[in-house]
Amino acid sequence: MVDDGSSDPTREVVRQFESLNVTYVNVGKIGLGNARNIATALCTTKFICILDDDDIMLPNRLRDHMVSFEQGVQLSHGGWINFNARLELDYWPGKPVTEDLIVYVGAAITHGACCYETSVLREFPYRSDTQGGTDYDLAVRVIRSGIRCRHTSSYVLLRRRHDTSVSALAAAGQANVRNAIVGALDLTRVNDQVEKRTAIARDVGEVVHVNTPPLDLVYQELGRPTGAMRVVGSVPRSAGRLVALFDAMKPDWHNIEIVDGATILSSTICLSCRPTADLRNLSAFEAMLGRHSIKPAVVVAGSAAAVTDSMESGLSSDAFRIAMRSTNLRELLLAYRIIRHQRDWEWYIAVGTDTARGVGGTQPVYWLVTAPFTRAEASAMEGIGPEDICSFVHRQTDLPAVVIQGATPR
Amino acid sequence: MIVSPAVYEDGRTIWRLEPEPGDIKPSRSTLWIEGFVRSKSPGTETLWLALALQPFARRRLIVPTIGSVRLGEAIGAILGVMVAGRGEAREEEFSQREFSAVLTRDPLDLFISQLARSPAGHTIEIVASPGGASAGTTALRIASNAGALRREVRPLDRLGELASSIMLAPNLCLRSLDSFACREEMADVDPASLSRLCEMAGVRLGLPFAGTNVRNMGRHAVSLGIPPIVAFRNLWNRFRTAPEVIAEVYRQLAPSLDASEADTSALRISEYFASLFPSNPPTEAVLDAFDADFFIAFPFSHAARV
Repeated sequence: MVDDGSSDPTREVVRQFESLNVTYVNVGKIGLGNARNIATALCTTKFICILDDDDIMLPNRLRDHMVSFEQGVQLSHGGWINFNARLELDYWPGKPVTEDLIVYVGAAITHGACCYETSVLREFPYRSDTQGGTDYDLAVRVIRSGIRCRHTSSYVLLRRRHDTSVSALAAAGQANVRNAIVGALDLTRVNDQVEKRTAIARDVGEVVHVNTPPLDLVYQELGRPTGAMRVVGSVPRSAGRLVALFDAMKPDWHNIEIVDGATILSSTICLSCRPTADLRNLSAFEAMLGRHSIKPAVVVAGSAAAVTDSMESGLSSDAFRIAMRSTNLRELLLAYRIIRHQRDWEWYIAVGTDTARGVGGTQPVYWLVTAPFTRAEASAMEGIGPEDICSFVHRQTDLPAVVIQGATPR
Repeated sequence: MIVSPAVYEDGRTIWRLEPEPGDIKPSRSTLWIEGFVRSKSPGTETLWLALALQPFARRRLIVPTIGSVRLGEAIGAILGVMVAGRGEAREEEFSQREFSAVLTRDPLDLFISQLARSPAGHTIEIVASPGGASAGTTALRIASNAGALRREVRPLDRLGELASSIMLAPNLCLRSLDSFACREEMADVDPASLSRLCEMAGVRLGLPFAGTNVRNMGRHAVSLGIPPIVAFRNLWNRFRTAPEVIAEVYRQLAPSLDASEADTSALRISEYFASLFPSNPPTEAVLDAFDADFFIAFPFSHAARV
């Protein structure tokens, strides 16, 4: 235990684990890089597994790293799941690392989800002369040196996000180090090369077969959230894509509701599931997202900024609502045709206005909803009148639809 | 261990390694030198590959083209690994070699070479990985993974770096090379024998510190006229993951250090290492013998006693 001059009772805590024969080192405030280098220098094991003190290992981690090392690599890394104080989860599967991937793209590897052969960390000590960015600097040096590394094809870490983490406090330093390294590398390359390398690196997909840990397991480690939860997946902004998704997922509609949570039309669409006391429902939904190559995230009800206020109301467990938003009414009605076979709800088309980025100006936006909602003040619409929409919906569907202009689902 | 002929890929000259049954599998599948090594002298290439891969090849090393049968036999006798070539053995004088160079790994080596008035024409800095923290010199820089590869087996080994510079000597028209590698950094290879091997490959090798215990580098850097704090900072950077070395360097230099605030962390850690690794002072006789070796082997070090 290398204590970087902390003021908390670290020493006392270490004493409680005396039976584990923990060596405690405190030589005052020496900086993160120096503290890590001391630990590396004194370590007598073949491998060093990186784990920041505010993160949590998943139970499969060491086993998966050892499987990697059996393949003859010196660096094993896995996916990580960010979580915050509200126990919202954000999944980062990582990618099989290449030099160009970490230099030009990112999101491939995080230091806390790495396990190194000790000799590598001795060969490439941490820098101690920067505020932040030491992890990135190390990764670039290690990968550029040709060290063989392997993704575990699993999530190995629960990574805590909070305002006082090193990443948050030294964000500027991290950016400076990154810019300096990338700039130095780019100096040796002509622009065409940089663009080509970047394009190739971007094409490297996320690890497709990353085993997602069951939510039960994750919340066993983190503790149970007190509120209901949602699984949110971001998909390209296309109602058509959503429709295909609905068609394929065949969910238990009694336990899942779906909302387009994006606040602007040009952003991604979020699918959300709640309420449920049973994590298995969420796991099924999450697995479905995974099958469709959608990066899932788990949020506790009512706390995800990406989910609209429309879901904030306290619906009772038997009040369901599906809301989809699109500027394309035809797509919404297509979605309706598919979903109505799943459950015979009362359907409404709500019409409002919104600014669609990239489309230009304000234009009508349609919601497909079923459930109680609040009638908003009717507002004038140009181009399409309520009667037009009403007759259009009637022509397209075999069920009555009510069109409420200027309404926002509540 | 079978080594494929070098190819140029992505800014590096790369030799692919194919371990044979019984070999230790290196962690990397390639050996590389940054940049394009335009032409390769069979002699220096053979020696470079033998030095870089000797810890991994148990039985034999098959290189693309062996410099000469005699060189292969000498490598076998000195490094303990049989070397054979895929192509026909041939002797080749590669180029007109006119220059000499001193190998540096950090500013300390640079200071030593300057204080010692080394006659070297070039200064070559050897680094393990480009793109990271710079050693801060303006010397010609060679990057290669040979050193890192060898250090998997022996932490203080520097023969990989030496091998890289030998490989590039013909390209740089180098007649002779001086390296400040110490005894432990020579990986138990007899310096005189290594020099003989290099001579056969066409490079004269000077190893003035080859008899020096790496733990005494602090003392001897100061004896050459380098300020203690400068010696300490550089040796700290060089050996900070080798606590037993840092402990001894600290013990030697601490009394005379004129440290600034920036050195506080390094000093604290060194002091801690010194407490972990108690001193094992060499006897006077050993020191005398060492000094004798040191100054005999380092003929251009007349400034050292000033």
